[in-house]
Amino acid sequence: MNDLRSASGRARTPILAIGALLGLFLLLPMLIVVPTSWTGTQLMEFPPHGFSLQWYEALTEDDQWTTPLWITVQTSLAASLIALVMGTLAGLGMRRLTRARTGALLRSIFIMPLAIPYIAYALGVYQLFLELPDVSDTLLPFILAQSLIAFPLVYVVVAGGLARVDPSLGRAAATMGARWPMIAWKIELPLIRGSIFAGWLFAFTVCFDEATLALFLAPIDKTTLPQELYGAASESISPELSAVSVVITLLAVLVLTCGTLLTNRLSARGRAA
Amino acid sequence: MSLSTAPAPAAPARPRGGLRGLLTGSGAGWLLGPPLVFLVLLLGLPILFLVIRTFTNSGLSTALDDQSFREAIPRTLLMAAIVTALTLVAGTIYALALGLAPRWGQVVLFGLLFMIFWTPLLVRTYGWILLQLPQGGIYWALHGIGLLDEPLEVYQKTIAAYPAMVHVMLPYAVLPIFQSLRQIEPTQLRAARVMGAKPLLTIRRVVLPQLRPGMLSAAVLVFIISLGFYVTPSLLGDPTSPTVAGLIGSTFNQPQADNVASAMSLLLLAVVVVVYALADRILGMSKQWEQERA
Repeated sequence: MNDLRSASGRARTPILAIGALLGLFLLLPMLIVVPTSWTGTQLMEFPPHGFSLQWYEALTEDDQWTTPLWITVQTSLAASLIALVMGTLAGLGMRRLTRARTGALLRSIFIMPLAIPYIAYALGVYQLFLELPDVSDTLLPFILAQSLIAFPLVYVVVAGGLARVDPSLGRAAATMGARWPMIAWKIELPLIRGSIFAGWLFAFTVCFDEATLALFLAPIDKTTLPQELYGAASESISPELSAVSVVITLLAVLVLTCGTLLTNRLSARGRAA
Repeated sequence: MSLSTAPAPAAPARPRGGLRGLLTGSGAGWLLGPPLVFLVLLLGLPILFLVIRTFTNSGLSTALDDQSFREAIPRTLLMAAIVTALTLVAGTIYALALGLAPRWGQVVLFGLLFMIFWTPLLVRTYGWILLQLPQGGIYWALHGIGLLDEPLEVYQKTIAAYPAMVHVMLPYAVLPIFQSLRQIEPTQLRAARVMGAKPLLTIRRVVLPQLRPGMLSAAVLVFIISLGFYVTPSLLGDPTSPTVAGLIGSTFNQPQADNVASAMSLLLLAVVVVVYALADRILGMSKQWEQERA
């Protein structure tokens, strides 16, 4: 990077200036959401008048937000765990493939859910579950659809972790008579603990934040948090909505910061083991 | 006659087949089986249902004759192309700034990028609504410094979704481009300087060509996501001129129109899959995405 700095010479200042402006651009939406949540008056105004925490207090008395939050935690947990199991199996299996062509084909298929438009996928899942009237009114179609969307995220992170595991460890264990389940369970999985956790966290975050599938697949009486936010943002903009947004953002940033730190610790321990 | 009816008693147990086969061998088949079944049931079947519905009660021809759908296609392609171009330019400059900034600047720029990445999508979109309202944040700021007298007429216009979409996509572009930037051989930069190349020439002829893999990967990802993006365009954009995704959403909710909605979805899906398959074929996209996320 030092060479990049000296090579760029006078071009450095304008690039850094535009970079700083882009950083400001990234911050822009939060710069407006936070002050409007402090509004002292009843209505949304620009600039916001007064300062009060009344909208935060209002949240604690209102289960309009706590119920969807709880539903979202449950569905995201279920979907991300399914994705975790499937993604990890896929990663372990791909490592054992010997035919490069099969591997390339399977990889394209595994990564494809990353590219699929959620709205088209939601419609397909909806019609599939119309054939199964017993479960079409439950959260199951939604959870399964989310788990498919989250699957490639786990797969790529786990495959990345496995790529750093020395294959000769497995071969050494095999010559000692260890069979593949033993190699997976005792050697590979412990070494990629950090990646498994990171993959799960990534999947959970994406599920937690996902609105399109929820809007079209979640049953009417069970709204998720992104769905509730979507409805509120399209119908009634209010200081209370700003307060909810701030709380959720703080929660998300806090959880993800802790999660990232934990991932780093787990990975460090995995390497030491 | 056939040999298989008489198992040779002296032959050792065959490596595959039966319970013993589950444990011996590489185990690739057993490990890959569940995810493959999972994908067939949850990816293959829904797409199959879209195909079936598309061809019931002439869903496909109704969709293709639909005036609003025909207008939505070029609008969506244009939106995705503009958002991709803007994101790519902004993402390249941001990645370069990350590389050029002093240590503390790098921490700040990375911190901002991750904070925004971690902020829920709907909170960010809601922030853009507040900014773009006729008398909202942007009006207040521009009015305050005397640049704007009339209330802002941006909210729920087609153009309103663009900055918000670039905002959402920017991390997807910056990370792969920065990855490419880090892989540039320092000696090449030194050589360019020693040979007397001016900074702009170095950036244009040495740095940018080596960022191309990251930029291409980012462009395909951003273009694909933009084509099917539902939430942000439908909250911020013009409700009377929806994108293809928005139109699918409103058709979805109409009774007896699921065949039309399926046809539109299938066409959108087909475009995305073709772009993905071409990119994978030509650029090895899936391998690259696999390595980037690692």
